[in-house]
Amino acid sequence: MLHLRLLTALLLTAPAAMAQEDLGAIFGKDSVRRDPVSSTFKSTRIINGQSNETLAKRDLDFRVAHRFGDMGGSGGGSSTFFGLDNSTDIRIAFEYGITDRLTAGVSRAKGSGNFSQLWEVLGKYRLLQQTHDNRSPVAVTLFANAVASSMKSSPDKADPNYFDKFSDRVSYVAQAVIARKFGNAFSLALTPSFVHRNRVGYKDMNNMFAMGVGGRLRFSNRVAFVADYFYSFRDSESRDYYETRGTKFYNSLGVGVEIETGGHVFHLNFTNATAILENQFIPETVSTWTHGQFRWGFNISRRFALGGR
Amino acid sequence: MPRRKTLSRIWPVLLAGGLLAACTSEQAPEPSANADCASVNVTTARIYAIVQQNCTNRNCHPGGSSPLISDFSTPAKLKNYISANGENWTFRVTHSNADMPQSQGYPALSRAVRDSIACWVNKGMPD
Repeated sequence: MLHLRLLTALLLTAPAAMAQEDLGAIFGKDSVRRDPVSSTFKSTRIINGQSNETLAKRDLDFRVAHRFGDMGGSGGGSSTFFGLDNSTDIRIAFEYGITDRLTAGVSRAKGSGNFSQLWEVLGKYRLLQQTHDNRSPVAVTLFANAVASSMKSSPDKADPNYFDKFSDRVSYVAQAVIARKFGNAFSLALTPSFVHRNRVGYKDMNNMFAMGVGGRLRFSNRVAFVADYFYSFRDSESRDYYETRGTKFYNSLGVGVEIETGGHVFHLNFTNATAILENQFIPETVSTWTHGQFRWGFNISRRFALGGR
Repeated sequence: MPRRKTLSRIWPVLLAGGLLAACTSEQAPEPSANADCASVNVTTARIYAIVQQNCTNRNCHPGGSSPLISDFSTPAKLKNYISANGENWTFRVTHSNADMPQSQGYPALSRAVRDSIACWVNKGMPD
């Protein structure tokens, strides 16, 4: 709760540093606009994390995301063509705008972490839209998913991917994306997140909170710089246990360029996270930028207007 | 028509209810050290499943000389490699300072799994 208050305070005070386009000042107080701010982000994802955007009613979004292998370090370099010979995760998704506020979707991901062969159902609801008159200074969108693995169970009960029953294969994510667009060029999002994994390894955490922050800085009408970072609140007992066994967890950081080409939004990005779904990259990222364990990746989004617009 | 509308509103609630009903919290037991090889399940199928998950399915040792020469694409090829390169295998896979599989962002093999692989090799790689 305290984190949420801090977030809201940060989002509310940051505008002082950024020039908000104030049409009221230009045209007089009578013309202050109360219409919603649009296109805070160009896509429903920033890089790894969700943006506040939802699909328009009856829009179908076909998404393909890909993460290659380590560019550097012991697993990268020229022998793997800087990671391009490997793929750590691939996700194909269909997301659909049921209303302008509500998006639902399904996806299949290769998975990178304890589980592979992942099936996802997701829902996203635009709770609040930012308005030009600052009556609503931020946009708030809720996101939730459930992911199940269809991989073969390990025969060893000590492995996190040992499945005694179906529910052992399932994990969940719930997020609130609190976003604000500052003028025409800059957008910021804070994403308090909660990940629940039904079955985890010894001393791992079933429930984990995380805080994400992401931004978009527009260079031109079609090109923007995007970045996001997720800080995972893993307790020290769990962290220490895994470090003594040679596994160190890291927070995910992604940076990239967003290119809009008509119906496509194309992301070229670099991130240390090997996984694409929040259920994995928040609690299970064990690769770090400092050891060359970052990879090239891309997100492609192709939207189809099925409503005849 | 109203019935269809009611149904269309009910199914998301049912779906959400079903997903939440599947919500549990379970932690795996502590991995054992597997010091006693006699008690370890060391069939080729068990070990090769580990190798597939950690070595071939990540496109590192899929065979065809790409990207790495060591070919673990079948259990027989895995056994041939270990027979010919036993010392290297021990040093890089089952030794306490083993560096395989190289991270690529994946968790390291647990000590118990490394011990199981070592037991399998020491027992002559039984089927």
